[in-house]
Amino acid sequence: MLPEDIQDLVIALILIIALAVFVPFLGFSAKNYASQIPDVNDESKLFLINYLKTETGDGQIADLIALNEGSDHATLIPLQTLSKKIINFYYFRNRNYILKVGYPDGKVDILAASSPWNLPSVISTGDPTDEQKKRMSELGNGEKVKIPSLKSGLITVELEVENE
Amino acid sequence: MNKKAAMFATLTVMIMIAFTIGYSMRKDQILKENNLLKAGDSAKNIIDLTLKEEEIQFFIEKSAEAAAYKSLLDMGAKGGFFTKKEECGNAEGYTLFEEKCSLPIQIEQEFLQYFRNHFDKILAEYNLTGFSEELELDEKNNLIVKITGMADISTKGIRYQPEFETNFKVNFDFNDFSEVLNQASDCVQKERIKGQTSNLLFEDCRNDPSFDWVIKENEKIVFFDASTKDKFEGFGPILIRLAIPL
Repeated sequence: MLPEDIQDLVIALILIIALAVFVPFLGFSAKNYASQIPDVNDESKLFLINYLKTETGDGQIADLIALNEGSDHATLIPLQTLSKKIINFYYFRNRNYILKVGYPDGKVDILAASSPWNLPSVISTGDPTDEQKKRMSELGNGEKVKIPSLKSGLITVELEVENE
Repeated sequence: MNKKAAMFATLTVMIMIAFTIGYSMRKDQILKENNLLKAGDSAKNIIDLTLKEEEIQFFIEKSAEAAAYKSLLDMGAKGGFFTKKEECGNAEGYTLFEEKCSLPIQIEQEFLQYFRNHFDKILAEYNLTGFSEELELDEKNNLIVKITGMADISTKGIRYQPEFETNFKVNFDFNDFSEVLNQASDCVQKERIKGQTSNLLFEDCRNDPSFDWVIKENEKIVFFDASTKDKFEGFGPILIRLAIPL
Protein backbone atom coordinates (compact mmCIF):
# COMPACT_ATOMS: atom_id res chain seq x y z
CA MET A 1 0.00 0.00 0.00
CA LEU A 2 1.38 3.37 -0.99
CA PRO A 3 1.81 6.15 1.61
CA GLU A 4 -0.70 8.29 -0.33
CA ASP A 5 -3.35 5.57 -0.02
CA ILE A 6 -2.83 5.45 3.75
CA GLN A 7 -3.22 9.24 3.89
CA ASP A 8 -6.48 9.02 1.86
CA LEU A 9 -7.76 6.32 4.15
CA VAL A 10 -7.07 8.41 7.27
CA ILE A 11 -8.77 11.47 5.80
CA ALA A 12 -11.78 9.39 4.73
CA LEU A 13 -12.06 7.92 8.24
CA ILE A 14 -11.94 11.40 9.81
CA LEU A 15 -14.67 12.65 7.44
CA ILE A 16 -16.88 9.61 8.15
CA ILE A 17 -16.48 10.11 11.90
CA ALA A 18 -17.33 13.80 11.47
CA LEU A 19 -20.49 12.89 9.54
CA ALA A 20 -21.46 10.16 11.99
CA VAL A 21 -21.08 12.49 14.97
CA PHE A 22 -22.47 15.78 13.67
CA VAL A 23 -25.42 14.64 11.58
CA PRO A 24 -27.42 12.86 14.32
CA PHE A 25 -26.32 15.39 16.89
CA LEU A 26 -27.50 18.37 14.89
CA GLY A 27 -30.36 17.03 12.85
CA PHE A 28 -32.19 14.12 14.37
CA SER A 29 -31.55 14.16 18.08
CA ALA A 30 -34.41 13.98 20.63
CA LYS A 31 -34.23 17.70 21.34
CA ASN A 32 -36.35 18.37 18.23
CA TYR A 33 -39.41 16.60 19.57
CA ALA A 34 -41.77 18.25 21.99
CA SER A 35 -42.67 15.94 24.81
CA GLN A 36 -45.89 17.08 26.49
CA ILE A 37 -48.85 15.08 27.69
CA PRO A 38 -52.03 16.44 26.07
CA ASP A 39 -55.05 17.29 28.20
CA VAL A 40 -57.30 14.27 27.72
CA ASN A 41 -60.62 15.74 28.79
CA ASP A 42 -62.96 12.95 27.77
CA GLU A 43 -64.75 12.37 31.08
CA SER A 44 -67.59 14.81 30.36
CA LYS A 45 -68.44 13.21 27.02
CA LEU A 46 -68.14 9.73 28.48
CA PHE A 47 -70.40 10.72 31.37
CA LEU A 48 -73.01 12.23 29.05
CA ILE A 49 -73.24 9.15 26.84
CA ASN A 50 -73.50 6.80 29.82
CA TYR A 51 -75.96 9.12 31.56
CA LEU A 52 -78.29 9.19 28.55
CA LYS A 53 -78.11 5.41 28.24
CA THR A 54 -78.95 4.82 31.90
CA GLU A 55 -82.03 2.62 32.24
CA THR A 56 -84.72 3.74 34.66
CA GLY A 57 -88.06 2.17 35.50
CA ASP A 58 -89.66 4.33 32.79
CA GLY A 59 -87.08 3.86 30.05
CA GLN A 60 -83.70 5.38 29.32
CA ILE A 61 -82.82 8.86 30.60
CA ALA A 62 -82.69 9.98 26.95
CA ASP A 63 -86.35 8.93 26.55
CA LEU A 64 -87.37 10.81 29.69
CA ILE A 65 -85.60 13.92 28.41
CA ALA A 66 -87.43 13.60 25.08
CA LEU A 67 -90.77 13.14 26.86
CA ASN A 68 -90.06 16.21 29.02
CA GLU A 69 -90.18 18.43 25.93
CA GLY A 70 -93.07 20.87 26.20
CA SER A 71 -94.08 19.30 29.47
CA ASP A 72 -94.39 20.71 32.95
CA HIS A 73 -92.82 19.98 36.34
CA ALA A 74 -94.54 16.59 36.46
CA THR A 75 -91.86 15.16 34.17
CA LEU A 76 -89.00 17.54 35.03
CA ILE A 77 -88.86 16.94 38.78
CA PRO A 78 -88.47 13.12 38.54
CA LEU A 79 -85.86 13.68 35.84
CA GLN A 80 -83.93 16.09 38.08
CA THR A 81 -84.09 13.63 40.98
CA LEU A 82 -82.77 10.79 38.82
CA SER A 83 -80.06 12.98 37.29
CA LYS A 84 -78.81 14.07 40.70
CA LYS A 85 -78.61 10.45 41.83
CA ILE A 86 -76.70 9.41 38.71
CA ILE A 87 -74.27 12.33 38.85
CA ASN A 88 -73.46 11.56 42.46
CA PHE A 89 -71.83 8.32 41.30
CA TYR A 90 -69.37 10.34 39.26
CA TYR A 91 -66.46 12.21 40.67
CA PHE A 92 -65.58 15.57 39.16
CA ARG A 93 -62.74 16.20 41.63
CA ASN A 94 -64.85 18.67 43.63
CA ARG A 95 -65.23 20.89 40.57
CA ASN A 96 -68.49 22.72 39.95
CA TYR A 97 -70.76 21.30 37.27
CA ILE A 98 -74.10 21.96 35.63
CA LEU A 99 -76.11 19.51 33.56
CA LYS A 100 -78.82 21.00 31.40
CA VAL A 101 -80.96 20.30 28.38
CA GLY A 102 -81.85 22.62 25.51
CA TYR A 103 -84.99 21.93 23.49
CA PRO A 104 -85.59 22.94 19.85
CA ASP A 105 -87.99 25.71 20.95
CA GLY A 106 -85.16 27.37 22.91
CA LYS A 107 -86.29 26.30 26.37
CA VAL A 108 -83.48 25.24 28.72
CA ASP A 109 -84.07 23.01 31.75
CA ILE A 110 -81.45 22.41 34.43
CA LEU A 111 -81.21 18.75 35.36
CA ALA A 112 -78.50 18.88 38.04
CA ALA A 113 -75.89 21.30 39.32
CA SER A 114 -73.31 21.61 42.07
CA SER A 115 -74.18 23.99 44.93
CA PRO A 116 -72.44 27.18 43.69
CA TRP A 117 -73.93 26.66 40.22
CA ASN A 118 -77.21 25.50 41.65
CA LEU A 119 -80.82 25.63 40.60
CA PRO A 120 -82.72 28.92 41.01
CA SER A 121 -85.05 27.52 43.66
CA VAL A 122 -82.13 26.68 45.93
CA ILE A 123 -80.50 30.09 45.70
CA SER A 124 -81.77 31.77 48.79
CA THR A 125 -79.14 34.44 49.24
CA GLY A 126 -80.32 37.36 47.16
CA ASP A 127 -80.95 37.60 43.44
CA PRO A 128 -78.88 35.49 41.05
CA THR A 129 -76.07 37.30 39.28
CA ASP A 130 -76.13 37.92 35.52
CA GLU A 131 -73.63 35.10 35.10
CA GLN A 132 -75.86 32.74 37.08
CA LYS A 133 -78.93 33.81 35.12
CA LYS A 134 -77.14 33.24 31.84
CA ARG A 135 -75.86 29.85 32.94
CA MET A 136 -79.38 28.81 33.91
CA SER A 137 -81.16 30.02 30.80
CA GLU A 138 -78.72 29.27 27.98
CA LEU A 139 -76.51 26.45 26.83
CA GLY A 140 -72.82 27.19 27.37
CA ASN A 141 -69.48 25.86 26.21
CA GLY A 142 -69.70 22.48 27.89
CA GLU A 143 -69.62 19.04 26.32
CA LYS A 144 -72.77 18.39 24.31
CA VAL A 145 -74.62 15.32 23.06
CA LYS A 146 -77.64 15.53 20.79
CA ILE A 147 -80.70 13.30 20.76
CA PRO A 148 -83.74 13.43 18.45
CA SER A 149 -86.87 15.22 19.55
CA LEU A 150 -90.19 13.37 19.40
CA LYS A 151 -91.64 16.50 17.82
CA SER A 152 -89.18 18.20 15.51
CA GLY A 153 -85.50 19.09 15.63
CA LEU A 154 -82.79 17.97 18.01
CA ILE A 155 -82.44 18.14 21.77
CA THR A 156 -79.04 19.12 23.19
CA VAL A 157 -77.88 17.77 26.53
CA GLU A 158 -74.93 19.67 27.97
CA LEU A 159 -72.54 19.07 30.83
CA GLU A 160 -70.36 21.98 31.84
CA VAL A 161 -67.62 21.21 34.34
CA GLU A 162 -65.45 23.88 35.95
CA ASN A 163 -61.81 23.90 34.82
CA GLU A 164 -59.24 22.60 37.28
CA MET B 1 -5.06 12.42 -1.63
CA ASN B 2 -4.07 15.48 -3.49
CA LYS B 3 -4.86 18.94 -2.21
CA LYS B 4 -7.77 19.50 -4.61
CA ALA B 5 -9.46 16.24 -3.64
CA ALA B 6 -9.06 16.96 0.07
CA MET B 7 -10.68 20.37 -0.37
CA PHE B 8 -13.55 18.89 -2.37
CA ALA B 9 -14.19 16.20 0.26
CA THR B 10 -14.07 18.74 3.10
CA LEU B 11 -16.41 21.08 1.20
CA THR B 12 -18.87 18.22 0.69
CA VAL B 13 -18.91 17.48 4.41
CA MET B 14 -19.31 21.18 5.23
CA ILE B 15 -22.30 21.48 2.83
CA MET B 16 -23.94 18.44 4.41
CA ILE B 17 -23.43 19.82 7.90
CA ALA B 18 -24.80 23.22 6.83
CA PHE B 19 -27.84 21.55 5.23
CA THR B 20 -28.46 19.51 8.37
CA ILE B 21 -28.23 22.57 10.61
CA GLY B 22 -30.59 24.51 8.33
CA TYR B 23 -33.07 21.66 8.15
CA SER B 24 -32.93 21.23 11.90
CA MET B 25 -33.64 24.92 12.48
CA ARG B 26 -36.56 24.88 10.04
CA LYS B 27 -37.99 21.79 11.72
CA ASP B 28 -37.77 23.44 15.13
CA GLN B 29 -39.63 26.41 13.70
CA ILE B 30 -42.42 24.16 12.32
CA LEU B 31 -42.67 22.37 15.65
CA LYS B 32 -43.05 25.67 17.47
CA GLU B 33 -45.60 27.04 14.98
CA ASN B 34 -47.82 23.97 14.75
CA ASN B 35 -47.15 22.43 18.14
CA LEU B 36 -46.69 19.11 16.42
CA LEU B 37 -45.44 15.86 17.78
CA LYS B 38 -46.87 16.17 21.26
CA ALA B 39 -46.57 12.84 22.98
CA GLY B 40 -50.07 11.32 23.31
CA ASP B 41 -51.75 13.39 20.62
CA SER B 42 -52.45 10.37 18.46
CA ALA B 43 -53.90 8.49 21.41
CA LYS B 44 -56.10 11.46 22.27
CA ASN B 45 -57.36 11.68 18.71
CA ILE B 46 -58.23 7.99 18.76
CA ILE B 47 -60.13 8.43 22.05
CA ASP B 48 -62.01 11.44 20.63
CA LEU B 49 -62.96 9.57 17.46
CA THR B 50 -64.07 6.50 19.40
CA LEU B 51 -66.29 8.63 21.63
CA LYS B 52 -67.73 10.38 18.59
CA GLU B 53 -68.46 7.00 17.01
CA GLU B 54 -70.19 5.87 20.20
CA GLU B 55 -72.21 9.10 20.23
CA ILE B 56 -73.31 8.60 16.61
CA GLN B 57 -74.27 4.97 17.28
CA PHE B 58 -76.44 6.09 20.20
CA PHE B 59 -77.99 8.85 18.10
CA ILE B 60 -78.88 6.37 15.35
CA GLU B 61 -80.56 4.06 17.89
CA LYS B 62 -82.58 6.89 19.44
CA SER B 63 -83.46 8.22 15.98
CA ALA B 64 -84.81 4.82 14.97
CA GLU B 65 -87.06 4.78 18.05
CA ALA B 66 -88.27 8.34 17.48
CA ALA B 67 -88.81 7.76 13.75
CA ALA B 68 -90.77 4.55 14.42
CA TYR B 69 -92.99 6.33 16.94
CA LYS B 70 -93.68 9.23 14.59
CA SER B 71 -94.31 6.77 11.72
CA LEU B 72 -96.86 4.79 13.72
CA LEU B 73 -98.63 8.00 14.76
CA ASP B 74 -98.81 9.17 11.13
CA MET B 75 -99.84 5.75 9.93
CA GLY B 76 -102.53 5.49 12.61
CA ALA B 77 -103.86 8.93 11.65
CA LYS B 78 -104.23 7.70 8.06
CA GLY B 79 -105.91 4.43 9.08
CA GLY B 80 -102.89 2.34 8.07
CA PHE B 81 -102.01 3.85 4.71
CA PHE B 82 -99.00 5.70 3.40
CA THR B 83 -100.37 6.31 -0.07
CA LYS B 84 -104.04 7.11 -0.35
CA LYS B 85 -106.05 4.52 -2.28
CA GLU B 86 -108.63 5.61 -4.80
CA GLU B 87 -111.17 3.15 -3.39
CA CYS B 88 -110.97 4.82 0.01
CA GLY B 89 -112.62 8.12 0.80
CA ASN B 90 -111.88 10.88 3.23
CA ALA B 91 -114.22 12.28 5.83
CA GLU B 92 -113.06 15.08 8.13
CA GLY B 93 -109.46 13.91 7.78
CA TYR B 94 -110.33 10.28 8.58
CA THR B 95 -109.76 7.51 6.02
CA LEU B 96 -113.23 6.38 5.03
CA PHE B 97 -113.44 2.61 4.61
CA GLU B 98 -116.13 2.36 1.97
CA GLU B 99 -117.23 -0.94 0.50
CA LYS B 100 -114.20 -1.58 -1.74
CA CYS B 101 -111.64 -0.01 0.55
CA SER B 102 -109.37 -2.44 2.40
CA LEU B 103 -106.12 -2.24 4.35
CA PRO B 104 -102.86 -2.70 2.40
CA ILE B 105 -101.83 -6.36 2.18
CA GLN B 106 -98.25 -5.55 3.21
CA ILE B 107 -98.98 -3.00 5.88
CA GLU B 108 -95.38 -3.19 7.13
CA GLN B 109 -94.21 -1.69 3.83
CA GLU B 110 -96.48 1.31 4.45
CA PHE B 111 -94.74 1.68 7.80
CA LEU B 112 -91.32 1.49 6.16
CA GLN B 113 -92.15 4.39 3.86
CA TYR B 114 -93.14 6.58 6.79
CA PHE B 115 -90.07 5.37 8.71
CA ARG B 116 -87.65 6.25 5.90
CA ASN B 117 -89.07 9.76 5.67
CA HIS B 118 -88.81 10.44 9.39
CA PHE B 119 -85.49 8.65 9.96
CA ASP B 120 -83.69 10.32 7.07
CA LYS B 121 -85.00 13.71 8.17
CA ILE B 122 -83.70 13.24 11.72
CA LEU B 123 -80.29 12.02 10.50
CA ALA B 124 -80.01 14.95 8.08
CA GLU B 125 -80.39 17.33 11.02
CA TYR B 126 -77.33 15.61 12.51
CA ASN B 127 -75.47 15.85 9.18
CA LEU B 128 -75.70 12.11 8.54
CA THR B 129 -76.79 11.08 5.06
CA GLY B 130 -76.78 8.04 2.81
CA PHE B 131 -78.19 5.55 5.31
CA SER B 132 -80.41 2.73 4.06
CA GLU B 133 -83.30 1.03 5.83
CA GLU B 134 -84.65 -2.44 5.02
CA LEU B 135 -87.31 -4.60 6.66
CA GLU B 136 -86.44 -8.08 7.88
CA LEU B 137 -88.00 -10.71 10.09
CA ASP B 138 -85.89 -12.29 12.81
CA GLU B 139 -86.03 -15.94 13.89
CA LYS B 140 -88.95 -15.15 16.24
CA ASN B 141 -90.85 -13.44 13.42
CA ASN B 142 -90.30 -9.99 14.91
CA LEU B 143 -90.19 -7.11 12.47
CA ILE B 144 -86.70 -5.66 12.26
CA VAL B 145 -85.58 -2.51 10.49
CA LYS B 146 -81.99 -3.06 9.38
CA ILE B 147 -80.19 0.27 9.21
CA THR B 148 -76.82 0.54 7.50
CA GLY B 149 -74.66 3.50 6.64
CA MET B 150 -71.40 5.32 7.08
CA ALA B 151 -70.43 8.48 8.91
CA ASP B 152 -67.58 10.81 8.08
CA ILE B 153 -65.78 12.17 11.12
CA SER B 154 -62.64 14.23 11.08
CA THR B 155 -60.58 15.74 13.86
CA LYS B 156 -57.26 17.56 13.62
CA GLY B 157 -56.58 16.40 10.12
CA ILE B 158 -57.56 12.79 10.76
CA ARG B 159 -60.50 11.50 8.73
CA TYR B 160 -62.43 8.50 10.02
CA GLN B 161 -65.35 6.78 8.31
CA PRO B 162 -66.91 4.22 10.65
CA GLU B 163 -69.64 1.96 9.29
CA PHE B 164 -72.83 1.44 11.27
CA GLU B 165 -75.25 -1.45 11.22
CA THR B 166 -78.19 -1.38 13.59
CA ASN B 167 -81.09 -3.79 13.82
CA PHE B 168 -84.08 -1.98 15.28
CA LYS B 169 -86.89 -4.21 16.51
CA VAL B 170 -90.33 -2.67 15.96
CA ASN B 171 -92.25 -3.52 19.12
CA PHE B 172 -95.65 -3.08 17.56
CA ASP B 173 -98.27 -5.55 16.38
CA PHE B 174 -99.35 -4.44 12.91
CA ASN B 175 -102.40 -6.70 13.20
CA ASP B 176 -103.81 -3.95 15.44
CA PHE B 177 -104.84 -2.08 12.28
CA SER B 178 -106.96 -4.97 10.96
CA GLU B 179 -108.30 -5.73 14.46
CA VAL B 180 -109.51 -2.15 14.87
CA LEU B 181 -111.03 -2.12 11.39
CA ASN B 182 -112.78 -5.48 11.87
CA GLN B 183 -114.09 -4.55 15.29
CA ALA B 184 -115.33 -1.18 14.05
CA SER B 185 -116.98 -2.79 11.01
CA ASP B 186 -118.72 -5.35 13.23
CA CYS B 187 -119.98 -2.61 15.54
CA VAL B 188 -121.35 -0.60 12.62
CA GLN B 189 -122.95 -3.71 11.14
CA LYS B 190 -124.71 -4.42 14.45
CA GLU B 191 -126.11 -0.92 14.53
CA ARG B 192 -127.32 -1.30 10.96
CA ILE B 193 -129.16 -4.50 11.91
CA LYS B 194 -130.70 -2.80 14.94
CA GLY B 195 -132.15 -0.22 12.62
CA GLN B 196 -132.54 3.51 12.79
CA THR B 197 -135.11 3.45 15.58
CA SER B 198 -132.63 2.47 18.31
CA ASN B 199 -129.83 4.63 19.71
CA LEU B 200 -126.31 4.14 18.36
CA LEU B 201 -124.32 2.57 21.17
CA PHE B 202 -121.48 0.58 19.57
CA GLU B 203 -121.24 -1.24 22.89
CA ASP B 204 -118.99 -4.04 21.56
CA CYS B 205 -116.36 -1.48 20.62
CA ARG B 206 -116.73 0.60 23.76
CA ASN B 207 -116.41 -2.54 25.91
CA ASP B 208 -113.44 -3.89 23.93
CA PRO B 209 -110.56 -4.29 26.42
CA SER B 210 -107.87 -4.33 23.72
CA PHE B 211 -108.14 -0.64 22.85
CA ASP B 212 -109.44 2.62 24.26
CA TRP B 213 -112.25 3.69 21.94
CA VAL B 214 -113.67 7.13 21.23
CA ILE B 215 -116.63 6.98 18.81
CA LYS B 216 -118.42 9.86 17.14
CA GLU B 217 -121.00 9.78 14.39
CA ASN B 218 -122.97 12.01 12.13
CA GLU B 219 -125.97 11.01 10.06
CA LYS B 220 -123.98 9.00 7.53
CA ILE B 221 -120.55 8.20 8.96
CA VAL B 222 -119.11 6.77 12.18
CA PHE B 223 -115.66 7.97 13.29
CA PHE B 224 -113.48 5.69 15.39
CA ASP B 225 -110.42 6.66 17.45
CA ALA B 226 -108.85 3.53 18.92
CA SER B 227 -105.74 3.90 21.11
CA THR B 228 -103.46 1.01 22.00
CA LYS B 229 -103.29 0.18 25.69
CA ASP B 230 -99.49 -0.11 25.64
CA LYS B 231 -97.15 2.79 25.07
CA PHE B 232 -94.80 2.35 22.14
CA GLU B 233 -91.20 2.39 23.48
CA GLY B 234 -92.55 4.19 26.55
CA PHE B 235 -93.34 7.27 24.43
CA GLY B 236 -97.10 6.96 24.19
CA PRO B 237 -100.04 4.94 22.85
CA ILE B 238 -100.66 4.66 19.11
CA LEU B 239 -103.95 6.14 17.93
CA ILE B 240 -105.65 4.46 14.97
CA ARG B 241 -108.31 6.61 13.31
CA LEU B 242 -110.78 5.47 10.69
CA ALA B 243 -114.31 6.13 9.51
CA ILE B 244 -117.00 3.76 8.26
CA PRO B 245 -120.24 4.66 6.45
CA LEU B 246 -123.31 3.98 8.59
